[in-house]
Parts: sequence; C-alpha cells; structure tokens
Amino acid sequence: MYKRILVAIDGSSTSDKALSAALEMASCSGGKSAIALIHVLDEMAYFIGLDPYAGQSSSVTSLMREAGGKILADGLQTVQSAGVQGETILVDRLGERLAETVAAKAVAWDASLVVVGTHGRRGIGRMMMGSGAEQIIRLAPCPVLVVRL
Amino acid sequence: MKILFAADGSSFTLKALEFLVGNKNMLGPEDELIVLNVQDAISAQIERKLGSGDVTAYQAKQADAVLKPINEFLDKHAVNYRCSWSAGAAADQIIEASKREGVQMIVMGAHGHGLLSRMLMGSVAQNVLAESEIPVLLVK
Repeated sequence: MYKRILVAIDGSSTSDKALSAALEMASCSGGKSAIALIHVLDEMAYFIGLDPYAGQSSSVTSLMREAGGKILADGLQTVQSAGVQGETILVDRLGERLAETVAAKAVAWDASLVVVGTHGRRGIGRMMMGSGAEQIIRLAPCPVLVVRL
Repeated sequence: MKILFAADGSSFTLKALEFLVGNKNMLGPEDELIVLNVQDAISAQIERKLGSGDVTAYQAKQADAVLKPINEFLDKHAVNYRCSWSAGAAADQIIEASKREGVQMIVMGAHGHGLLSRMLMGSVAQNVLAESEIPVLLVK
C-alpha cells in the first residue's frame, strides 16, 4: 500500500530509527516500494548569510551541504543494501519552516507515507513530541508514521 | 505484525481500516489486529447516582455502535482480529492496551471529531505520540 515513502533524516539516532521503520514498511509492500530520503539544511545558514561576516557564509553553507550530502549518502546506502529503490533530496530551506518544506516535497514526490522521528520530550518534565514532527503531521498530505527514540 | 487500532468511529476509521486490509503483507494470516474503542469515563459522582450497571451498559452500547460496523467490515476481509472497548482517558487507555497486548505498532487518526480539530492535531494523537515507545501511524 505504501509504495512511496518519504523519510526525513538529519543524521541523529532518532532519524536512523525512522529510516529502519520506513524500511520495515517498505518490506511490508513486498519490495515494490521506493524510499526518498530528505535532508533539510538548517536555517542557520540563512542567518549567517545576513551577518557582517557574510563572506564566511558560502564556506559554512558548503560545509553544511557536504555534511547533509553525507547523511543522505549513508542513508541511501542503508536503503539500497536492504534491496529497496531509493533516492535523495537535499533542500536549502531559506527560512521556510522545516515542516512546510517536508510537506511540500511529500506533495511534489507524490508520497503515500511520510516517516519522521521524534525525540518525544521537550521542556522540563513534560512529555511532548518535537514541534517539527507535529507540524509535519499537520501539514502532510498523507499518513505519517511517527517513530520515537 | 501485531497492530493496535484505535477506533473512535470518526470518518478516518473506515479509511484506516481500508488501508490495513488493503495491505496483505502487513495484515496477513499470521498477523493480528487489536481494535480498541475508548469511551469517556463517567465521573464517580454521576456513576453513583445512576448506578454503575447503567453507566457500563450505556458505555457498552456506545462502544458497540462504533465496533459493530468494524466487526462486519473485518469479517468480510477475513482478518485475524479482536475488538474490545474500555473507559477512561483515551490516550492512557491506548498506551496501556498497546503494552498489555505487546503490539508492534499503533494505528490511529491524526484528528478527532469536529472541524477545528481536523485542522489541528488531535490531543489524543498528541498524547499517544508523547507516551508511545513503539511507532505510531497517523492516518489523516
């Protein structure tokens, strides 16, 4: 059923868990699934571009892009070694909210399922999901599988 | 896979069921679906006044109304399932049932009833996500 699975990854152990859950869902579809890994560069790069040392921004951005590329490459390898068709999407979000970016890509890529990881805890003593994950759930055009660390 | 399906009788319920039975690899002959409907708890004061037998009968009737169409649907699709209901705070009941049954995944709607809650994320879903240690699939 879930033939096109979009997984948001950031290199954290939470997102590793999201990826393995996505692979499990893919195996449920009898090997006919495709997984797209999406990594969104942090908006920090955007702000650095605005500061007086803007000259640094290009090198910082390229470093981030490099790190993001590596996260995606590692993820892609995991996907492919599981025998699932995979592709990667690297996004410079330029001030856009993470959830909006992911939701927009889910629409563009025609995802039938979005998988996100959440740390599950935010604030002192209060159990809450990551606000990023919550916004993704709200904005996604399809069902969302939420995996907690 | 053993799956807990939290059914509240809203429009998403049928949608989620259609997805579940449509996926034979997820819900094949060896897999099991636990369907749970949670009824609002009635305050102890009211329960004393009405008699706990009447309260339970009322809750059972309400739960039945949600579960009966699900029963019929799942029977038609030859799914290995079990329906049950309980009363209390929905998120707590769902988490408790998931632990008791040892399920691997929870499936539920992202939203509850009503127009406003359809735009926002339901508080039940939010609380389940906060507490659950297993993956939660939110259907919307």
